[in-house]
Amino acid sequence: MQIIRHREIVADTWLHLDDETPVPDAGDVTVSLERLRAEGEVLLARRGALGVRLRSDQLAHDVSDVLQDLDIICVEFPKFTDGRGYTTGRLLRDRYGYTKELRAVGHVLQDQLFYMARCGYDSFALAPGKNLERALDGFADFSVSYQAAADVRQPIFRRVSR
Amino acid sequence: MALHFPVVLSASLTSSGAPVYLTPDRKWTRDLSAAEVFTAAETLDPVLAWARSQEATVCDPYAFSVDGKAAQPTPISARERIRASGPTVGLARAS
Amino acid sequence: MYKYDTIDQRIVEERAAQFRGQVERRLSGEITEDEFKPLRLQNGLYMQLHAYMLRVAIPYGLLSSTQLRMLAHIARKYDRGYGHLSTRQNIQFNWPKLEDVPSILDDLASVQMHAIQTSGNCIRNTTADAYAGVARDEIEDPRPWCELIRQWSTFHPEFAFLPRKFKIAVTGAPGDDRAAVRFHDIGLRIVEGPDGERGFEVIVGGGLGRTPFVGKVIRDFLPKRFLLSYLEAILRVYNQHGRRDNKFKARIKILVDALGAAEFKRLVEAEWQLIRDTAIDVTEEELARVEEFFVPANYETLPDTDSRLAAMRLGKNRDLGLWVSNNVTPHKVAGYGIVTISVKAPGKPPGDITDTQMEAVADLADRYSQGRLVVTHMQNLVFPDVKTDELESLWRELVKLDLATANAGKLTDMICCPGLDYCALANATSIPIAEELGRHFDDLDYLNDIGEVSLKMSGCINACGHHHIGNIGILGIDKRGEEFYQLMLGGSPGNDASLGKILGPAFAKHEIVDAVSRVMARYLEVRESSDERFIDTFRRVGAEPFKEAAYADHQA
Repeated sequence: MQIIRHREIVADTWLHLDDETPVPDAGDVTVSLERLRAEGEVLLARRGALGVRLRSDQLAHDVSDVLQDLDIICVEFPKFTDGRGYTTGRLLRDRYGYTKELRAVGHVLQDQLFYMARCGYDSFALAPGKNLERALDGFADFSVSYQAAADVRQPIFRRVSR
Repeated sequence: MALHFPVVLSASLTSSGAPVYLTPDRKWTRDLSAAEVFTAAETLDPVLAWARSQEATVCDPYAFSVDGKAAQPTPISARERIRASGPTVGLARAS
Repeated sequence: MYKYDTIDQRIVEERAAQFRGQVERRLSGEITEDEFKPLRLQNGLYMQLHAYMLRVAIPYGLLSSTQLRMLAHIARKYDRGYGHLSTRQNIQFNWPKLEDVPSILDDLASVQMHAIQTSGNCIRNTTADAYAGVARDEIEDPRPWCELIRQWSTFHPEFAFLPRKFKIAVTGAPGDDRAAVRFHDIGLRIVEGPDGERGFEVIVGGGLGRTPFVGKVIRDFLPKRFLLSYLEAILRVYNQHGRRDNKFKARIKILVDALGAAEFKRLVEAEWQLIRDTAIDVTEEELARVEEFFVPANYETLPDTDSRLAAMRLGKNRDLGLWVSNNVTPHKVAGYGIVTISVKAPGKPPGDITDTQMEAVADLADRYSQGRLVVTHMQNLVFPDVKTDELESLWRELVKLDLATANAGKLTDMICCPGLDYCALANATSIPIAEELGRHFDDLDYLNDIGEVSLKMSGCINACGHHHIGNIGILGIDKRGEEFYQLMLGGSPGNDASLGKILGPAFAKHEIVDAVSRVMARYLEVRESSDERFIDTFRRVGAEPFKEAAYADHQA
């Protein structure tokens, strides 16, 4: 599967395991938060990087204690109108200092990319069938923003003299 | 809410939002009197499914009940009566 | 008023361009209607009964004459020659074509206007006291704060997809709430704190709709400089914890009610402690920059004219006298008055205004009110700065435009939603009832005798016409395909906030105006004096006498 990462179209190198599939000995895998809690020691002992997938009702604070073990966090947007993941992104970046890959997955569309990037997401698995080339335009919808967020830490009035 | 037959299939034009009705030859018309009247779900459902695939032309197709005794398709609800004939009041200029 | 700098201008222009692209992708089939709908809604574009409807933002209701002329132009070029003033101080156009909307947004951007976030589950246009900046009872002009909220909330990346829509209202007049702040998701009242310092009383979780609530105070006093971080904390709690499983339970009022105000406050304060004193909050320089735009206009030094106004009210010209009595409010500056232009002419749809009227009003604003006017949540217009000397001359001009109805604050100064004549959600028409009420109560002397009373009417339970907070509320319902109307009494939007209660069985369409008429007649019989307003009489005697009157000949 192709994804957008750091504003480029690349192949997804992660294996996204469901809760039943046995964990392979090597390779980079993501698991659900429930599986991470249940099988954390095993998952950390193996070779290969580890990531977690959060449902939209699993908030930043629910993973704040294990961030140092994670190389990717995937946050699900089950419908693009479910906006909890925007706060999850900002808190993971701003409050808990998470610096590795943060990926939006699910019903991810071009018109949300600008907001998601501002909330700290740096990779995006778009909804099936969407044109990734065209979606890249979404990052450039606006050339300036009023607020402080995860990308630009100062609101406009602290950045420029108005 | 259960749909009471007979019904007419309606939608809003994507270009203007204007209400339109489906004719027997599967065209959309602004003229309610030219609409096809469906008497059963077996005939309506496949056409409704087709109508939902016509997003370039129309949005949000749905069926509404009409008076089975009237000679022409006549809506039961105040909503569809007003939707078919336009606002009952207002400053709309004749144009 | 606030003037865009290059940054503000770039943002509205880029928005118009973005929407042009979204429309193109919709028309080419690249995105589905389901995917397009939330995008068009975030630009205020609805699909209504007969056509699209475009809602244009008028931040805190404030308009320049230039902007009003552009609205007239849009009404004429892209619509059917009229617009509708909404209860949230915006204007709606009822007939735009989808392909024209990007051009309308370009035209709006050319006069520093937009339709950003006028719909959708995001932070909507911030509303304010219609008399902001000129009211005698105001301790501070709330509009600089409204503008700061506008900028903070515009494309806030974290809060574009909230559980449900979110409305904020602000007033700087603690004594008389003309902005219904207790019926908003967040209501803000500028108040004086212990040391004379000004701050905000923060009210959360008010609202109407199918579950009406009076908002709860979660903070008595918030120093002004913390406003944006406090708002961010409230929105963050709501975005994470508001319900998303049921759209009828998704507003913040349901969350506040479910958690209890104390627990909700605890969550907000805990969040706020972590983000206060960070970069979010406004700097002194930025506050000063924005405040500069709202510095009082160049008023002339004029003698006090209160006694002159009193004389005009009782003068030989009865029509002018009634208009001055009802539609002119004392101004904080001597020699000036605040003029309410009633958009409630008898027999006309409340709040509807034609392109010709808009252009004429724009010219009058230039001549009489320093080129500025306000759209009120009562669906009227206000000229904030009219010299007392020029009131009569202005009145004569308004008479020619059918905009001089002397009914401000009276029964026929109704709030009324578009109802089933336009709205896809409505169950019953509301405008025809308003028109009939206007014709029935067309005797200004009788209206004046009745005095201050508010009538608010909605064509469905969503309550765009604020029926719960009218002294008299009318709610249209559908009974087996026929329109019926519930009558409720005792609501009030202001500092004495209360929710009206249903009086009894619903009335048929041909009965409802008569029922209101009998309630008014009973009020005149039972009031203690002409100084006792309807709402006070109602609170004193209760619903029973009115119920008896309303249902006297009712065949239920």
